[in-house]
Amino acid sequence: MIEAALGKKRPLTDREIWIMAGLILLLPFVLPYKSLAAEILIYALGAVSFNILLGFTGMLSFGHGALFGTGAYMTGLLLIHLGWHPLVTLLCSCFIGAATALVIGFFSIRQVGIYFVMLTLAFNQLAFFIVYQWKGLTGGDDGLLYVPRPDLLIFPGVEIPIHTNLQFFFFVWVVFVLCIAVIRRILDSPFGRILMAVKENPDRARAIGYKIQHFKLAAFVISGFFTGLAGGLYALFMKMVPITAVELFTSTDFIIMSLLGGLGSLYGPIIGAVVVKVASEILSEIWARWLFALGLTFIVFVLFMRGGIWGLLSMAVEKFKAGSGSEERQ
Amino acid sequence: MSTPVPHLSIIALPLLRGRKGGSVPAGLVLMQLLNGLVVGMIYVLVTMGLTIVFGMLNVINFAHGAFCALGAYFAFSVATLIGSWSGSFWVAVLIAPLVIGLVGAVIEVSLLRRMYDVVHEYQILLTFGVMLVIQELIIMIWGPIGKSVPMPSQLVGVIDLGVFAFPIYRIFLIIFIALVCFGVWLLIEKTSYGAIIRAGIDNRDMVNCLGIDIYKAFTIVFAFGVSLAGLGGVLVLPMRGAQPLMGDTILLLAFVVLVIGGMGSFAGAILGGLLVGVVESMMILVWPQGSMISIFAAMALVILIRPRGLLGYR
Repeated sequence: MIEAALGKKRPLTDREIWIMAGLILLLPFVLPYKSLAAEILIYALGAVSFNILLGFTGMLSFGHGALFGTGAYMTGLLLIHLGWHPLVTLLCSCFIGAATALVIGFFSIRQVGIYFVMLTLAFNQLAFFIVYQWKGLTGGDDGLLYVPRPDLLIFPGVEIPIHTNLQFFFFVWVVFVLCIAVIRRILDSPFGRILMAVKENPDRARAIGYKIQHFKLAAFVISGFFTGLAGGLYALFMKMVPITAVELFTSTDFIIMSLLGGLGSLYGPIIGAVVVKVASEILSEIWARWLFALGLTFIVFVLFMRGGIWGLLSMAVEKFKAGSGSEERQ
Repeated sequence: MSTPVPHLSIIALPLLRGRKGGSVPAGLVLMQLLNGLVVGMIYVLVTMGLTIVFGMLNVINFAHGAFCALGAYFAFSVATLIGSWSGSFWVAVLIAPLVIGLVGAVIEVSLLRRMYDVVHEYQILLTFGVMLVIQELIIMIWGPIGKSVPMPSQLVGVIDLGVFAFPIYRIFLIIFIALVCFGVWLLIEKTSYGAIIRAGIDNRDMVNCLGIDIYKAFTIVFAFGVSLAGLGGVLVLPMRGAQPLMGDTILLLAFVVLVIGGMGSFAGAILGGLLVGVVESMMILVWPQGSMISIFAAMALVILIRPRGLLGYR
């Protein structure tokens, strides 16, 4: 079902990454607000990381809000209290995301199917209520306010400004493209192929001799690493950390984006993030209950189009190619 | 999902009577115990629907909480439509679960039925989509602000229990839900329909082989399960009103109960529901901030140590 992008059809090429990067670069110039473009990329990074689990390892996690949230609070707290270099705080976000994923994953991968879903959900709720109650550190319900967004000091005297929306977008863009390239490399590696095997047929993967628990945990930690980074970027973007960052809502956002975009490919969740975020900005002004339409679309996709928008696009491309090919032969 | 609504039992605190000034922990503890039972009974009712559906259909219904909210809103509409007649709430108690059951049947036939041969993840995603749609539908029809109905006139007031006074409606809830549970138990254990359900939970393929239309049974069980959620919503309505996102809170707690009691277990839902309700309201006396933390920690712990729950057999 999901072999569209990996394996059967064709390997991911470097050219695709550049096309994607180029297309994304257009975002701030076609969208109504420049800040929306950066937000889309941050959510897209979270959704792609989420999809490492669901699309490529077959694990439906409701716990990614916890990973995103801890990443966001990490960068927020380090910037407020210690004033570290933003790049260092983002790196710390990566590691706290990975560490949280290690803890949640360590326990959750012992279960499969519904029990796995329930466990990740319970952990997300746990993380939420801990953040909610720990007002002294996290600001509780109000969120973590006044996170600074200092310029990036590269050499003494050389600073890259990221305070305007456009500058910040370019910064996020660079980080995003780097991350996608790395994730692509991981998924395309033998390790990534084993993850696919774990997803498609865990028993056989185990029978071949792979310790599938190790691979599941590794996938969880990698996913947490990038989700944490997305969280850190979110703190910089918002210049605060709202408590919604660690809510179950964030987990379900990633789920919706990934499914609509297409679980089967690396790029699907990016498309999903663009569609959902743009729709939420534009449609919500026209019709406050646009989520109703989103929910209906979601159901239709689950029922009939599990390849998502990416699947539809690649099907259209295939048809187009087949059509033009037969004309040439005539 | 939403920021958590303060737990059901918090609203019950200020009813303490008795000796002012002196420490009355005994009365308070007793009252919170009773409040915990009330809240627990509501969890029992809602989780029972969830657990029957899971047991039979092997589907975790993420829309279950939304059906609960829908039940509350239907009841609100029915009650306000009838107006000031003192029996309006009771008509709602009868009608709303039926309507919810009908909605559930339609959803099972049109959507869920297509998903039985697909991996669990997609079933979960489907019911999640249904949840989104129902929640938005509620806001579209009834607006984003919560609704409430007056307490049914027969049940206004408090009963003096000696140490403290306790609202009659809550006593009624305990008794009424206990009766409903007993009825469900009779239905499942003592009737031939119940035998099909029990057999289906045990081995649905075999039931199918025996010539019973298992899909028809699925539809009925799903409709029945969500109508229990709807009834839960109706019963909560006079106590704390209806809010569009109330389903989220209830769903998450029902999940906890489901996991702790054992997925698919009827007795587990009762034990788990009462346990969670009582622990929740007792924690308010001891360590209010830790109430939810400890409940979800307990949920995680049970899945890890005893995945089939306290009374489950899977």
